[in-house]
Amino acid sequence: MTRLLIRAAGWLLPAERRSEWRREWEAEIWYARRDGVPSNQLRRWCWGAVSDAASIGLEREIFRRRWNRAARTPAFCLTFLAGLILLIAAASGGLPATRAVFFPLPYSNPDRIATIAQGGGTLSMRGGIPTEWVRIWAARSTTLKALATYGWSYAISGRQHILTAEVSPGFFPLLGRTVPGSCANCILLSESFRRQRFPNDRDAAGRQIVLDGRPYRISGVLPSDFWFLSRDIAVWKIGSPRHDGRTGVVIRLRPGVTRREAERELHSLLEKDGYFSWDSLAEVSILQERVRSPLGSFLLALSLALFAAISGSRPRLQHLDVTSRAAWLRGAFFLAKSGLLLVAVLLAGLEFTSACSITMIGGTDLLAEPLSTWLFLIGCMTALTWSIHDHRVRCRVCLHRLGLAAHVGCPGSLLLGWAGTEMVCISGHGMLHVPEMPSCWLEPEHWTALDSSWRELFAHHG
Amino acid sequence: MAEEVHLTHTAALILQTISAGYRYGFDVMAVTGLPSGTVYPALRRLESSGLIASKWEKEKEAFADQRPARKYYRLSAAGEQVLGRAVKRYPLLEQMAPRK
Repeated sequence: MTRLLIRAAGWLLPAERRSEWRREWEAEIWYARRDGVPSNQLRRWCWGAVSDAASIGLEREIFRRRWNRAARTPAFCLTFLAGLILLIAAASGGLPATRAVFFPLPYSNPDRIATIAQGGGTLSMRGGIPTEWVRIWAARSTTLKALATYGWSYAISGRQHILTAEVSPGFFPLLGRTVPGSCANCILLSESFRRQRFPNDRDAAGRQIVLDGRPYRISGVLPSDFWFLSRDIAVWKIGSPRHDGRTGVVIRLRPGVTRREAERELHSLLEKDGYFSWDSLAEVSILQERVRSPLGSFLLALSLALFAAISGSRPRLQHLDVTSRAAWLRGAFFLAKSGLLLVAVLLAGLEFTSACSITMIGGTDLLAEPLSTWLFLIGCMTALTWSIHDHRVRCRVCLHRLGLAAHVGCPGSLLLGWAGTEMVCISGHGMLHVPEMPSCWLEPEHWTALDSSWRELFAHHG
Repeated sequence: MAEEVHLTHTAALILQTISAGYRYGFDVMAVTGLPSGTVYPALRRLESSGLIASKWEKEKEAFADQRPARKYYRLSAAGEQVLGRAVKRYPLLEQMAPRK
């Protein structure tokens, strides 16, 4: 135990002082044992080794040198990027938007659940569905297995404005979810709202809540994984949704029926009932596809960014030595670094922008979709540009970031001598020459490998 | 440099203990009752300030006795001067760490 503690604490010290430090502590322990110091007291004494090692390791100059060296390592780069991903996950509360994109929606057969919006040339935006259309489709459609309506509004509860949804009785069965029985003044709470309002009551059933000055009885709490269109909906009422002439419509398609087939049938039913065909276009959106649409935006942005990056780096790629182990290691590090960075861009885009925001009628926001593609494009381009630049200024042997940049020559006297920046590997593997004005576009910078005789110079540097 | 050093009571006590003939870290702990997490960092600081010097016992002698070589500390000339001033400032120091 004591030996293990000394070993572990030793890692806090710079390598050149570690062995002597361990030797001193191990000798002291040996003498203490010989002199009969009780083992519990010895263990207590040995904990001091940690603060002793830390006091040396954190000495300003030693710490600066060690930090400077550690920050250049490829492991630090990968750890930093992995930490960034964990930070995004923690800040977003466990990546809810990302999980919605990659995992099936919390309904039975989610690929058959869709929303309907009114399209048509005279409407600049998709709108809700006129209530008389709902009656026609519910009575005559053969492609729909079930149909339910929903509406939404903001209600005041205490000093809080909360988003409430009112749904028809067939809503939850259509999604394949069972909920406690409904009554005139009963409501269901979302799990996040329950945590906020009743943090100590996991059930909350039977409690009362006042919405817009009217008391309601809580009949149950929806599971934490349940959401529909918006995670902000805090309260669900089962009844007849407020229509105001239009309503949201959610449908379950019969097995084997495609989105297009359903659209054609719904449209023809309206035409038969005498509705003008230009205004009676019903747009069916499969919910799962809508939720996953930001992934398409990201892949498009990534393809464009990769195309630009590969076009810009083609001269270097042509001269790549794919036979050496070092080249493979460099390639693997570049892929890992770029991959982690692109994952961070994707997660940040999904979690912190409105890329995933679906409007309450089931479409995606008209602005959010193109905006998210641009954001992803800028994010991917920035990530790849940084990744390529970082790769260029790393040692070809140990992959540490080069340092000790020195500007050499005079840019105005290019004919008389070389001008540019020189950087060296802090382990002495080589030197990178980056000219002020590249003389050849195939080789903008030049790497000079240094032999082992130079290592002595760099042995204690860092 | 030594004249500019201002010792805390703890550092002065450790100097006094070494001056009294306790020359190993664990010995200093046993006499002063200070924890190892205080004594060892203080020894490093006193050494880097030039008030004490450390020396490893000869490996050959330790090996002959079948024990590990030990690092021991002694006061430097600067350390003795600083301790002299510290004793005037903290008169009870000499009683707290009696001669070995």
